[in-house]
Amino acid sequence: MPELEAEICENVRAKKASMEGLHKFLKALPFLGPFLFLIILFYLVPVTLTFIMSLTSMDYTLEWNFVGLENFMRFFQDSSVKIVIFNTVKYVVFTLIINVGFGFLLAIATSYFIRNENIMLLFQTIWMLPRMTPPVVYALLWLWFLDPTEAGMLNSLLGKLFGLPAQNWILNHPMKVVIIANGLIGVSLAMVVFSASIKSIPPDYFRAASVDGASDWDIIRYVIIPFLKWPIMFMTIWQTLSLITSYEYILLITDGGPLNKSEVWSLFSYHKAFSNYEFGYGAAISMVLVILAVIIAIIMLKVFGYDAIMRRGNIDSTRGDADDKRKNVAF
Amino acid sequence: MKKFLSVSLIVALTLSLLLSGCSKEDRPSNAEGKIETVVIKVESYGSPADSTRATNLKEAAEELNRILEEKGDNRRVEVSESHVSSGYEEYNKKFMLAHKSGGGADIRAIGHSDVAMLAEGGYILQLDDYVNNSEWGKYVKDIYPNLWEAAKWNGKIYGVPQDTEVRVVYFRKDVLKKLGWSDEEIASLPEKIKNGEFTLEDMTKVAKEAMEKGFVKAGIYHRPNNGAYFSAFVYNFGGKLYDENANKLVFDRKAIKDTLDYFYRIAQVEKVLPSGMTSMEWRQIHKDWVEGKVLFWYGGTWHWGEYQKVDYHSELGKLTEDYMFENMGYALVPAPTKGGRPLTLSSPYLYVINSNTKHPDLAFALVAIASQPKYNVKHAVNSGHLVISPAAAEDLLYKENRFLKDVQYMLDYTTVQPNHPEFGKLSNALFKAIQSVEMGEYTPEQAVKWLEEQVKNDIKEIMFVN
Repeated sequence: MPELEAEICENVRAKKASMEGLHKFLKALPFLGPFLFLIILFYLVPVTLTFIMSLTSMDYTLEWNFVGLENFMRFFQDSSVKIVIFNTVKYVVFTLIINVGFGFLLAIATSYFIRNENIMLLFQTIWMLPRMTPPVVYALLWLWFLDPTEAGMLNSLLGKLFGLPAQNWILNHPMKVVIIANGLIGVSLAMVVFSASIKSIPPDYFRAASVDGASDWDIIRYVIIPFLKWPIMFMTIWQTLSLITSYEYILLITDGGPLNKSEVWSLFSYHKAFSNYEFGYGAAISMVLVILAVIIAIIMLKVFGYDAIMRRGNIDSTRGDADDKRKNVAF
Repeated sequence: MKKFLSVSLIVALTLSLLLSGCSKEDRPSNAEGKIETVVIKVESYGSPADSTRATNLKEAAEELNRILEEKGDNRRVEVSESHVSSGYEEYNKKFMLAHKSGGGADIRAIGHSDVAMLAEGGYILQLDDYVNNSEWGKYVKDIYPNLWEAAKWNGKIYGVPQDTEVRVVYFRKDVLKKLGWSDEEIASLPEKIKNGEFTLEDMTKVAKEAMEKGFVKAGIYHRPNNGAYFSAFVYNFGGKLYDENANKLVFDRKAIKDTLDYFYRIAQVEKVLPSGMTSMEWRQIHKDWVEGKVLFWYGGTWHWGEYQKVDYHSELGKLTEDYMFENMGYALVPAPTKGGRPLTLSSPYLYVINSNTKHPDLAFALVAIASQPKYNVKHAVNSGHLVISPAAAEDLLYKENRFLKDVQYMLDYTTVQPNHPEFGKLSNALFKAIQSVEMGEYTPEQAVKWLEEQVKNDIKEIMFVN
């Protein structure tokens, strides 16, 4: 009998626990619901449609004719794919370095060295301008700036200052141009995130470091960088995933050319779908990219320790536990 | 409650009155019956000077409405037109997507080489019955037969020719004069080209001389992006791009190699064409040309109208026709060898009718009426295009136009691009190959190899010859 009672108690407890779980979920639903809906609508539905489309030979007729894995087979035999992958890696790595690296330098300059709030705001606003400019206008500004004739702003500047002949920058250095143009856009986001993080470092650390005779470089190296570990990781993951799928500025500035010199994966997919009207093949190229992006995201989250980011507060308040701070500040 | 009901009633009545006033489909009119206003949406593409492609239909609607009234037809046509001047690919894409959701403009002006794609996709109506058996057919019977050929796919008519043009080689008379050419020599250049006495090689030599003497900054310019002109070079070197019997695209290795050799030579060896030609801005190209900084310009007859309507010249702004006759000449594309036959290429524009339209008869009637000489000549004269029928060619206004009269003979030397749904892929790849040799990225041999790989990968069925 006591065993039966214990069993009943156990069942009741389990039922209670599951009811509590359900109750908890229902409580969270109003908060999670809108985001779940948006994720389903703007991510899962398009991905599913893209996947279905990738199994078809959809072309200019826009008909859904299923061809199985034919498009995927074609992708792995396509002679352009090698250069496209190489371009994508080059584009993502170097743009990321500008985005995160230069963003970090700007954050240090505007939030650590410039103490005057107004001047800091002015500089940050200037760097935000590319992000606030519509992409078409931003791309046009680059095209005018790099115009291959003597009338081009860069050419005329170099001509007047150093007597250099006019250069065709976009044609001769397409990848460098798109990396710089994209890099300067991404800089502002990293700058804002890093600046906010620097501003939230308790000032005691800077004072203590100064009292101990630390130079600016020491403070950056041993105080700021350790505190910015999580924001840097977040920005790296975020920007990597954004860059893998971005193509709009490349489309507007070089259109992937000349030849395929600046053709990146997502633009390759766009060109196949919308220039050649090969929607099925374009979707297959996108699908491979989606799978790759998910794998990269998982690897990055594992490497950077997603659990740790979620579990621990990256910066404690001045009233927080000193031990925790020491754990965070890994000198 | 009573007050609420009366207020609701007033609101409902006011709304219904307002809404009935807004309706365009059904408007009460005369005592004999209700006049139905049918809105026909028209969209056209081309330079700003080509806007008559759309506005002509608006004017034709007035004539159509008079005819409908005389016939006792209670429908009246109202045209809602739009003209686009940039992004031809976008122009087509928007229509295709709109069509799939049941919409899209009722009438569109398109380049003839898109007929195959739109016809096979079911986007546009087959018009044989309207052309041959309808009461409106009489307005289009006179159109040149070769233009009808350009409007066909699989032997069926899918469009009504709207205009045609020819691509020309413009040359600067003022620069040739500086090079020591006499007025007679300059005036006889088009004839020499026509007779095969002045070849592509001669053209390159003169261009080089002008550059070396510092009279121009570039010897030759061509368009900066893909376009029909490049197909003309493959034809000029004796090649073909399409086999009508097999209904397949053709990859003519020898002609393509010769074409790439030519562009490689002028850009990389003789350096008379900027190696960065394909990254230049259109406006800069036109500016350089109208200001006499280039000797030869692979342009089109429509540019003649454009230079009189758009401010390209930094001092003169829009050019007068007198200035143009004094300083610019035009000829066929020279043959590659002495005694060879020169050529040009036409890309006729067509009016096509959306298969979703609810009023195909009215749409066709509108297109047919707008094909009459009075409308067609107005468009041709304003935009530098050639007319579509012998009757229009006899129109006094057209005959008085010196430029159009001068270039009319070129139609005897013209060619057209293939009407094949996948031709765009071949044409895009060919342009990239030309770009690669001009930049010096590939030799012509490497470019042919690259091009062959591309088309094998992109085009389902293509014949390789030579």
